[in-house]
Amino acid sequence: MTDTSVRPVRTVVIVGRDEALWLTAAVLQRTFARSDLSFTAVELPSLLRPGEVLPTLGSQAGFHARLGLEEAVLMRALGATFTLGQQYVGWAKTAPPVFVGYSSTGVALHNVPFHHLWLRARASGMNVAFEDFAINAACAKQGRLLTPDADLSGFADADRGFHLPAAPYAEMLRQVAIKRGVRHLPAAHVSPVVKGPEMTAVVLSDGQTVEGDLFIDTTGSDARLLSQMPETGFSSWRQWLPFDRLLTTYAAPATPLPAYAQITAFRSGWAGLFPLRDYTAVQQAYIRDELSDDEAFEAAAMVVKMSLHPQATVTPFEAGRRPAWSGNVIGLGEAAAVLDPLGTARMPALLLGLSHLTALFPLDTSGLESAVYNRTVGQAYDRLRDAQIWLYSLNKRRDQPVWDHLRSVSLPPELAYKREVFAACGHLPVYDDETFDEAWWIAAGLGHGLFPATHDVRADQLAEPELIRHFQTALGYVRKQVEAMPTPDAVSRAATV
Amino acid sequence: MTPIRNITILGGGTSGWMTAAVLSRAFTPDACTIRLIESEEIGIVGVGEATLPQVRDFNTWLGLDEAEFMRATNATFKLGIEFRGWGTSGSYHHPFGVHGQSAGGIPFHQLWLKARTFMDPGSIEDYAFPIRLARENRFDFPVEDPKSIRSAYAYAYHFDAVLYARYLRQWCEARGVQRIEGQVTGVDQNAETGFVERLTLASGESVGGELFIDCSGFRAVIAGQALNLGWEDWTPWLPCDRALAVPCERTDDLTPYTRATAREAGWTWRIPLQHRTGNGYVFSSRFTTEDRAREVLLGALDAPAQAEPRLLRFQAGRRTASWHKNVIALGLASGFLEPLESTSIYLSQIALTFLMRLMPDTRFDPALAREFNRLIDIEYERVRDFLILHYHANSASQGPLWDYVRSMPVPDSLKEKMALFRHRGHVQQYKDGLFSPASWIAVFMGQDVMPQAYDRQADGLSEEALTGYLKDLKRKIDSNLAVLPSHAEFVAAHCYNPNSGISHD
Repeated sequence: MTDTSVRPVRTVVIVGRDEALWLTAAVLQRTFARSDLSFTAVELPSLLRPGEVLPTLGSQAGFHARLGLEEAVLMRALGATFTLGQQYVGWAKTAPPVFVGYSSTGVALHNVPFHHLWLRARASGMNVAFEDFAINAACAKQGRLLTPDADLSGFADADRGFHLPAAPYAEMLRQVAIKRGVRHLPAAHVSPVVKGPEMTAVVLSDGQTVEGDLFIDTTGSDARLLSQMPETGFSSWRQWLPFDRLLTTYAAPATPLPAYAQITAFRSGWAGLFPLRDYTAVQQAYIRDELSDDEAFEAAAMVVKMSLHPQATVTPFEAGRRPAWSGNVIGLGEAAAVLDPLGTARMPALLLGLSHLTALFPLDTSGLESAVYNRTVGQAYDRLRDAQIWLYSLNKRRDQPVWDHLRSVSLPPELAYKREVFAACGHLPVYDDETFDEAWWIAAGLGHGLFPATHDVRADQLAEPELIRHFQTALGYVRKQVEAMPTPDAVSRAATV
Repeated sequence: MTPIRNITILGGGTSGWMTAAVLSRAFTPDACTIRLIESEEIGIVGVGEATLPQVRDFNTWLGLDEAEFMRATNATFKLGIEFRGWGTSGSYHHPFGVHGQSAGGIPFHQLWLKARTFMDPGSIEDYAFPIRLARENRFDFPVEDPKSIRSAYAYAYHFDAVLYARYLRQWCEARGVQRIEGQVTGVDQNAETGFVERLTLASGESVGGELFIDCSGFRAVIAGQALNLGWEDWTPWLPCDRALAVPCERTDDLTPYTRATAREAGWTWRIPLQHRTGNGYVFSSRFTTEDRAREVLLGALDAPAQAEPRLLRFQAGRRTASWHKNVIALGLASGFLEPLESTSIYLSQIALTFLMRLMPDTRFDPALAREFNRLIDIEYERVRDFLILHYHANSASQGPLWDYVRSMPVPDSLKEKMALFRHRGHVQQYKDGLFSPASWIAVFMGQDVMPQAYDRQADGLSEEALTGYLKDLKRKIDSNLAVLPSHAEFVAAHCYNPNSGISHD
């Protein structure tokens, strides 16, 4: 872009739908409320599916706080629930389920990280699962919910994520955004107007032209705006993330209410249960070549062993991403990166893009920030993708084509390196811009049976009795903490009073 | 797996004894024999050493008593570095802490930049508690309460590096580390594997080991001379390649900071210890002579010199692989970056942290060395870029060296960082690597790399609210500052060595 066309950004047009549109609009409006920026939200018809859930991490709470939304009120109004992690069932045909939660596991002893102590004890015959030392896993499995004011000082870092019902959540954000002053224009569809290197306007279905200095694309995987700009080609991740169909439906609420999601693998994919207060959200990812949509619905009911609402929606998808910022157009959410539905990656990807955009919100149309934004956010999306590939690659479902492929496919270089180092010595390299921390990666690795060839040699110096005492203390602490925690139902009831 | 039972360290300078200390803290003598070879005949670098706050974690982990350690090394406290002559203001500080306090998630420097558009908020340094402390020559420990302005900084030490090595040596020997006096004359490698098997000393004695740690300084006896591991030269960016060092008598205003003053062909350091002041001139032999450098250094002292200046030669750069087979180069044997930001002890310390995470067994899985080298590279490169910034962005000094560094091509990563800061005061955060955004902001601002505009998040505070906020902050700093003791008083009360100045063996 030549200098002559550079002008300050004043008018911002956000085009899109659902939670991506309204979270973006609400957060940007709130952040820049007193500045000279004005925000217009062009709302396209919703693509939310009945029963859709948005699983997300504890970091979402920071955005709620910024928007002035009180957590208890929000949970009550939406019928949302807390989640301590995911339980993976059937990742190996015979092994017990594996819990990967949002907490640390165990406590270091004499500076030796806990997982090395565990590996040493395991080598000498101890038969206690790694996750038994994790407070989130223990809470979840005992039907308890970790409360945020629990004093875990010195013992554990623990967090809890959310299961947010998609439609009411998007609606709540819409109200917040509009109340705070975002201009709202509904449209059936839009046509972007691109002149030279920049987008100048979008023409709405009713003929209205909306001009802007900066356009934010939250339209979803079509990237209706961003895809019109140069150098925004889509890079597919299908070689690593081959699932291409997502079935969404729901079932009766679970009683008692679990504080975690359950993900069950089957021959052609997996089916997930996400408990909410008023219903259980059901998602199933699978491969079209192996399963027709009707077969998929039947498979889902069989896998989750629940009676599913027949109003199921099937959505095709392809995991991958495109450069998120081109010229004066920035894509957020699935317009920038489509993550696989496994684990908790889709909502965190939106948050990542949004928080980086807030920190680098362009002053003018020079696009000076775009290179650093594309690099850091791109890396962050790739690392989220790697976390999903990590989970998939650890499966042991032998003789099932998709799962064999997921287990044997050559990994992206950064992940291959991570796995190689961890498998060699139990040290887990963590890169810049990672969403999941070392504790999460290790819990997933050890939980799914990837055992390093060696452990920290310092663990071998510890006297057996000291080590046993240390483990007993940790287990005792977990037991005591868990007993003191309320049930998810009690928390949910308290929130409805 | 077969654990390593014999580790041999070559070199008894700061990094050698730090290595011995870490290993003897981690391994009991019956689990692993640790030997350190050093020679009385080889001098070690160290006139006065300035450190970073991380050294406190190191000492704490060893369980050293702070006051005792400070007495033993004639140490003083350090709140940061004063840079003189690097920017048009004449002097700025890079503190161990942040400027101001952020409000509502908006970085303070953005608020200050906004304030400048409608009022005169004064220097941004007026809002940094550690800078105010330093400028008034006061010191006290930071407090724990995160709401207090007195929590917003960290501190490090100036100490006599020779005494620090000696202090660690006593600590190590008490824990069973074997010290061997002697000079290495031969390095024997296995003909097939290339692994080092033993070192031969001038006395004819030979010292074996399964793991060898080369702390022999610039000479890099094992990693450089014997294994001939590659060296990446960074002189094009950091052209200084000599230093002259000399101690002088201490002065009364015991400053709680290091001073780095830009000179015609480099810069001089000033490091105040309890018993004397360490001084040195880091210069480029391309741009000045040793005689002229000596003149500049002696002219810069604030008290009579206590000795003849000693010359050190070096080359900025890094070994392409610090860990190769069963040899790990550490400290100056692994890389050299001039002491402009006091990073040398930190770089040894972080290497030891990585080694503890990646301690090999006798199979020496190559994945461990690869990961160690990857982590070390990140550290060195990020410090390097930060040092280059000081030279490249120097807006005050005159002379051919300065013309060269101002116009030289710099790494793209640095170019981008400077452009983003100039544009809007933004500093990208990274996970690994030493210097946080606060450090970059201090140097940018101190050296006149001024943002053209502030981040509009700062509009979250109205002009009135911002004016009040800045006034309150200043008042808070003033009132907290007034009650704190002078640095000299604090040292006298906390860690004074009555024998300082007297040689003690």
